[in-house]
Amino acid sequence: MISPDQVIRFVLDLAPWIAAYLVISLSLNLEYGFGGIPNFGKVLCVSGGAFLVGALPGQLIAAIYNLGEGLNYFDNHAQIMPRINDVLARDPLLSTALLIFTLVAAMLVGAGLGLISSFPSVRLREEYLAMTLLAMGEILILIGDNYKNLIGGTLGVFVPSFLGWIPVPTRSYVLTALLVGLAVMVFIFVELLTKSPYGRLLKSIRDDEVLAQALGRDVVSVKRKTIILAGALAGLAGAMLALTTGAVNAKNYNRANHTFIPWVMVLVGGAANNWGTALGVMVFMISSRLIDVFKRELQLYLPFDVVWLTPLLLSTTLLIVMFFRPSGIIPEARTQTLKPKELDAIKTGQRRLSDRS
Amino acid sequence: MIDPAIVNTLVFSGIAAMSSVGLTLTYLTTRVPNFAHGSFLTIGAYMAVYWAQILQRSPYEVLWASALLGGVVSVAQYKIVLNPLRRRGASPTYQMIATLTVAFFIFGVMSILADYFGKTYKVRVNYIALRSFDLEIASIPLVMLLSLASVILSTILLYIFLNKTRTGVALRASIENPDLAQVLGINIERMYMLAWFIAGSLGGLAGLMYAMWLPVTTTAGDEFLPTIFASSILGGLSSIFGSLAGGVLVGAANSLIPQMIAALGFTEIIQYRPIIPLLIMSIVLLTIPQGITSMTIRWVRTAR
Repeated sequence: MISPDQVIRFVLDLAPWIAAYLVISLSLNLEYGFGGIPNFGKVLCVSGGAFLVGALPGQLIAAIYNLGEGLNYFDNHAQIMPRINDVLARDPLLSTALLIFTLVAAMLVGAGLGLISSFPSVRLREEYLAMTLLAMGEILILIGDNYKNLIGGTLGVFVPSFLGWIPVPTRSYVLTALLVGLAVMVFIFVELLTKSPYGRLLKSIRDDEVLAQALGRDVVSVKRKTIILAGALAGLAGAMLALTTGAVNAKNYNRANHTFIPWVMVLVGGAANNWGTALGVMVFMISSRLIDVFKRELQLYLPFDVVWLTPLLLSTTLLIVMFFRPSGIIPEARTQTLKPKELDAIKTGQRRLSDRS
Repeated sequence: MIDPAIVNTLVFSGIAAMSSVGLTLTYLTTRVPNFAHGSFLTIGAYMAVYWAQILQRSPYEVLWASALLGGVVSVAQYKIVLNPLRRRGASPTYQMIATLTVAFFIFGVMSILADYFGKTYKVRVNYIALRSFDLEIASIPLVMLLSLASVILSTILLYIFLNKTRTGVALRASIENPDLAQVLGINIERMYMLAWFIAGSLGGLAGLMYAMWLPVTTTAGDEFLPTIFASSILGGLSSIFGSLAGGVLVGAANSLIPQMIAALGFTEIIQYRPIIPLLIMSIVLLTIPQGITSMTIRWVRTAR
């Protein structure tokens, strides 16, 4: 039987992943669902954020406290890392400040990469754009994999232990709470943003770009801002992934996991609907983890590794959803329009727009 | 002995040209880039790998099978996934996601097969190039000749097919004006299926050449996708012969530029070679977005 202890471990294992993927999917939802920008290079900003966590904070501490003693940070990683963790474990304030700094820096990197990818995005037609973004997505991974002095090349790097000052059993709870908290904050932010006039403007551009332009809106600038914002969120998500795994290796970032899967989550859950996206993330993460849990039982009946069933299941699910429920499990909410009576009341000055019930 | 650099350039160009002409052909029919096009390469490549590794026979014996399999999968993708979605009025972005989904599906199937065959027959099926199975004619690797021949032959055959045969003309008509073609009694569905079959089989063929020269993994085709895109975009994305030329150019650039840089002493840079197609893509989109074919037409016009 399943004990409560197992359930707690299952949740603790899963929650950080759900949190990180929720942030990636929400940022994609902002771009594609609300803005209509088909970002097929989501992995670019995600890997940017993750690589920053691998590259910056550790080297920063090593440089400030002269822990490397002139040695190469990546060649002598196994030597230098424990010293960094020692320094951080002794100083909670420094650890926390460094963590906040790292997260902000990851968002900035994501925003910067978003800015770069926004140059083609605002000019190109849908299909050219998708092809360009897809190809751009791989660049950073390629550099990370080959250039040793970014994140250690093929070997990868460890992430400094930001929570080293917390005793062991509670540490993982705190990390989980932190990541989940971040995800919830992002969710509230995106939800408020998309309900704001800016969100409605974004939708109007998605539905009819020419109309929005004719009404005096700067379509290019709105699109660019959206891509930069989504990039920042994706960078944050990358940092969250790096914190979850505790190490960064370019090999773990790819088109399938960080572009395609968020697309699946958004489309299955429901594009242009943040609750739908959240549901999509939950459904996907929980079911794929359950497959992992029951892997051994399944393995007895199959002549190949069970992990390869996941791509088949995923793609089939997505195709079924695309065919039979194209707007996802929770479709986009209809825009509330005023009743003719209310409209007349506003026109004659009896009511104000803000009084809407 | 022929310089390996020349072989590399020619083989790479051949693979890029064969695969990008297919991408362009399918793009012309659906107006949506097929993100699963790289998977046809993977399929063709693994056909050769299994044949060679399990039966220890020459991969060239299954040249036809690689092409046929690629074509069949391509038609299946069009018939089962894309066409029904289009009939339901799916947006281009939706169709693109569907092609990405197909790519993911094929990746799953290829991984399962690789795992199964690898375990059952105890052979190596990943990171393997079949160079040892290649034949040499006058100390020239056969794959280079095959690459050259397939580019030249497919250019000639496609030209004859599209301009001199009734079916080819009907195919062009269905692409350029589907409504009018239908009025004239052309079965445009069948024509599109034919286009997808040609595209897939050229992809399968390119995959076999890939396996003969470069190490194959189950993601080989997907990793090659940016090169295919760059070739097609260089060719203008809607010109069949443009993309053939684009493929040859991108393929050549892909192996010549790193060699030139390495000759200058920057050997470290070679590993960043996958960035080259991307650079080509960006430069083309920024300077000649209609591709090289538009350039020649403009040039001809000014010359007149």
